[in-house]
Amino acid sequence: MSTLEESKAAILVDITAMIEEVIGEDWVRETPITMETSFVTDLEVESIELVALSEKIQGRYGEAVDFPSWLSGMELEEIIALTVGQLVDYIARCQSSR
Amino acid sequence: MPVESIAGVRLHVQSLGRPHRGTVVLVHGMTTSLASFYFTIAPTLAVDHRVIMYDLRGHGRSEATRSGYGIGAMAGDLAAIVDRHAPSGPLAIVGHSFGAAVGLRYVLDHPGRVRKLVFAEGPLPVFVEDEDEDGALAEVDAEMVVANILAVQEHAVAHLPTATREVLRGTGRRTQRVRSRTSVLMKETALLADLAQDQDIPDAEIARCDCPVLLCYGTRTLPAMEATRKRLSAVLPKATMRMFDCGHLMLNEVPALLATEIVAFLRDG
Repeated sequence: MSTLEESKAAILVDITAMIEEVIGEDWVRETPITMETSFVTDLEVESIELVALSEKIQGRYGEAVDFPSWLSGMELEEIIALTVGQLVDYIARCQSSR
Repeated sequence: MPVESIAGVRLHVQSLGRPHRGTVVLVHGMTTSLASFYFTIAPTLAVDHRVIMYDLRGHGRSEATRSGYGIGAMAGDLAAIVDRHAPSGPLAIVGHSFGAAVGLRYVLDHPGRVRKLVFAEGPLPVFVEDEDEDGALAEVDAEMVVANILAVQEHAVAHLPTATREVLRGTGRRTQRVRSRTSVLMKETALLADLAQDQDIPDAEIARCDCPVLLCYGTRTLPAMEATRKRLSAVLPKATMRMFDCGHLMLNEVPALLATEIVAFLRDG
């Protein structure tokens, strides 16, 4: 596994824990969260939960990862299709460009 | 932050950016939350401003109190937020839908405090039956309010692409949670009675608004918004109007265009 892949795998573990905490319901802990998992169609997250996730992302990765700006650049259709993998890739990109 | 006790109510507050050009407080609409700004126009405004967003009482992660849901009480919450987070320095307010009416109420209650107001897709009075403009204050009741909210939501998504519309309408967890919160607001709080008390602001008072106001409306909005746009552009002493190719959900439909117009408006003068 390359360094980038290792780093993405670690980010996925972090993000999975954050999602479980933000949603805070039993079913999410029993649902496998992968790079393909969709926030809107699979997890049915509410936008206010994405705000809580954003807080956690900033707490974990600092200002180098600007989740609100990244999401605000997307069309509604893109947000609806957003996957956990896209977020992981974005965070990995922010970290590698530091 | 993020959930703090302000004037006796637990309110969820978030901020972005630093105050190079002052503070902008964003006030969301009924049955939504601060998330309607957080991922849309707030990041752009936060390039030059400190942006404060909060969930109205009974919404998002804020406490659902028994009462305090009229425009006047909501403007009181906004005043408490301003006192806590922007006690001095240049201040602008951006309100969407019901939040726009709350923003205007705050401006009128605090002459000289607000430098600029953005009034986006706001209705005034807040609830009015399109065919019956007389006696609207006395006519506010639960069925009407629920019907109005459903009509606004339905109208707002009607022209979106089919796939998007189906996801937004949905039947899953997200939709159920939104419905359940709306139901709590309607049935277990005094929201309806509070709104019946003060859902409008008289023209003579609106005419005393002392700051420039940017009126932002969609070309495909509802008749009640359209009527408010005409009313306010005639009554407000310093109004500028911008129309956007969208419906009521302009924050989701044209966030970049809206943010650009707001940034330009805040910068001028």
